[in-house]
Amino acid sequence: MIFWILKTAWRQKLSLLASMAGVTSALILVIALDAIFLGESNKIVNYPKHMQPDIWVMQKGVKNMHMATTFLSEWVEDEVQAVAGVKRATPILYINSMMAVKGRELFSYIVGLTREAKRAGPWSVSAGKSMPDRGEVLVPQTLEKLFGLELGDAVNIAEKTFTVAGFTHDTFSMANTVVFIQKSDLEDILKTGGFISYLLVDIEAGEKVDVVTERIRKEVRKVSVLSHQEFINNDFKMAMMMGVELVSFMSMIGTALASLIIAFTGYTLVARNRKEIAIAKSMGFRNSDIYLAIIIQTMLVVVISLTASFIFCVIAIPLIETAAPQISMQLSAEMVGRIASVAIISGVLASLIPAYLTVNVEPVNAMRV
Amino acid sequence: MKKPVVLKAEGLTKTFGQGETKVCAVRGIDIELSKGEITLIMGPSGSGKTTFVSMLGTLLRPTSGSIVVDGKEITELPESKMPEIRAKNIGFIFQSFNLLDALTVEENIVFPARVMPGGVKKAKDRADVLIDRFSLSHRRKALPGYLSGGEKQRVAIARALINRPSIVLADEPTGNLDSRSGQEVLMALYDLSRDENCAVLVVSHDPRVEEMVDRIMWLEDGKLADRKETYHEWAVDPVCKMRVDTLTTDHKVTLDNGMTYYFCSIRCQQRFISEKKGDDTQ
Repeated sequence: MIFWILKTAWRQKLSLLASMAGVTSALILVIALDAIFLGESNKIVNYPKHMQPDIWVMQKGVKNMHMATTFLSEWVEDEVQAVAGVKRATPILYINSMMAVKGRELFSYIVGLTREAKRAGPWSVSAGKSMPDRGEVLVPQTLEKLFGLELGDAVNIAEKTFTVAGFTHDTFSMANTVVFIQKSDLEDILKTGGFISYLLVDIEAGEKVDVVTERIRKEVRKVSVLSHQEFINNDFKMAMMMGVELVSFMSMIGTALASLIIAFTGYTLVARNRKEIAIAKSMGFRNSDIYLAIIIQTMLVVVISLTASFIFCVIAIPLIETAAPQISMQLSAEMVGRIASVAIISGVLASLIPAYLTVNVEPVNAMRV
Repeated sequence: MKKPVVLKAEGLTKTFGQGETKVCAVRGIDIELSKGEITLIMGPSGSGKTTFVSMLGTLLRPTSGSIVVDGKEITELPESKMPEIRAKNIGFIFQSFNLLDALTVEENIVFPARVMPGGVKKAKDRADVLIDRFSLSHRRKALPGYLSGGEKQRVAIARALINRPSIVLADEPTGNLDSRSGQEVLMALYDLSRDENCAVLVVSHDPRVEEMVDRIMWLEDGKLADRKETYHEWAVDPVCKMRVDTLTTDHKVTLDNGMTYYFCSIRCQQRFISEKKGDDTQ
C-alpha cells in the first residue's frame, strides 16, 4: 500500500510539489520568525554578554538589565571595592530611553561611562573614539548604513543633543540599540547626581565567584548580587518574555498554515483516489494499511519540506543580515528540534481528516463504473 | 461426479432505505458455485445483479441470509475479518478494469499479493506465469494508460488470479471492450475456470457469454431463476480469429473443396470472400 501511495503521489508530481512548496513556505515563516526572535533576544543581551564581569551588583530586587531601572548610591562602589577578593568594581549609569536619529526614534540602552570606566565601554569600535567626551555619543555602525549617519552628525537623547563621535560594532538590534555617553551627561538628562546603576565586578585571581558573591551580599546592604551567568540568564529570559507571546502567536499561525496544507494534501490524495482506495479494499487491504500509507506519505512531505525550509533558512539568513543589517537572525539546535517536532505532530494530526475519509470509503465503490 | 461447492448463499436479501423509501434490491436468493464451473447471471438493468455480486464478494453485507465461502460462514463475521477473505478466497474482475494508474502491468498484477504472507516476493513466479499466459510479457513495464482495453482486462484477470482464489467474480467483464477483445477475455475466463479450477461467476449482458458458460441464471426484480443449458459447437472465424458457434451463426461459406468456414459477422465473411477472390486471380 505504501508502495502504491508513493507511486501515486509521484505520479501526481505537480500537486505533490505544490503541497511541499506550501508546507515549506509555512515552515520557513515559522523558522524565520523564531530565528529573528532568537537573534534579537541574543542581541538584546549583547551588552552584558560582552562585558563579562564575574559579578553584577545592582539595586535590591533588580535581577537583569533589559527594561530594568536600578539606582545605587555612588558610595556602594567603595563598599564593594573594599570586599575581600574584589579586584575591580566598574560603575555605569544606565537608562532605557528613545534616541532620535534623523527623524527616526530608536529604543536604546543609554550607558553612561565615567572617564575611568573604559572596561564598561564599547567592545569593538569601527570608527572614531572609543570613549565619549562631554556632549558626545558612540552609536552602532548599523545606523551609518541605515540612516547615512556620519561622525559629527547630531542625535537627540531625551531632548539633549549629542554629537556622534564614534561607531561601534555589534551593538544594534531592532529592540534596543546600545549607545555610550559620559556619565555626567546622563546625570544631566536625569537631573540628578551621585548615583550609579550597575557595578561590574571583577574578582582577584584564585578567588571563587560564588564565595565573593556571598561576601558582597553579607557586607554590602540593600543590593542585588548575581554571578554573570545568572545575570545573563535572567536578562535573556526577560528578553524572550517580552516577545514570546507575539512570536508564539505568529509561530502558531505558521504551524496552523502548514498543518492545513498537510491536511489538504492528504485530503486531496484520498478524495482523488477514492475509487483506487475502494479497489484496494476490495482486494483485501485494511483501513490500517491505507492509513499507515497516508501517514507515511504525509510524513514524507513534512520531512522533505522541513529539510528544504531549514536549508533555505541556512542559506538565506546570512544574505538577509547582509542586505538588512538591522535584522538579527539565529538558528539553534533547540529551535530545529522544536519546529521539527511540532511539524511532525501537526502532520500526524493533519492526517486524521484523510484517515476519516479512508475509513468511510466503502469497498463496494470499486463495483461502480 | 458433483464438483465441490466453494460458495453457497441461502436466502440472500438486501434492502436499502427505510419506510416508504425502502427498496428491496435482492430477495431471498439461493445459489451454489462449484469449482471449475462458470455461472452467468443475466438480467435487465436495475435487477440487482451488481448488488448480488457485491454481497457474494463480501463488499456489501446482506440484510439477511447466509454466505458460506470455502466452508466458512462469513455473514456474521466482523468487518475486520472481511479483508482476509477478500484477499485469499475471492478475485474480482470489473467492467472498468480498475487498474491502479500509477502502477505498471506487473505491479498491478502482484498488488493483491502485498496483503498475503510472503508478499510480492512469493508471488513473483506466479506473476511471471500469469504474464506469459495472458500474453503480457511485452507490456510488463507499461502503465495502464498505454494499454488497449483488451490488455487492461487481461491484466485485471491476471491480478484477480494472483492469490489463487477459489472464486472469481466478474462484473460485466466485456462491457467496455470491442468484440475481438471481448472474445479474448471470455476465452480467458473459460480457460481459467478449467485450468485454475475456479468457480467463476460472470455478470453480463453480452450474449456471447451465454455460449461458453455452464449455467445461466436470470435475475429480475431481485429474484433468481435457472435457464436451460445451451449446446454449442465452436469454430474459429478465419478473419478475426474469434470463436463462433457453428450452430447459431448466420455467416458461413463453403468452398468448392467442401471446406466450410464460419464467421462472427457479415463483415468478416465479405472480407474472407474478397481475399479468396484476390488469391484466385493471382
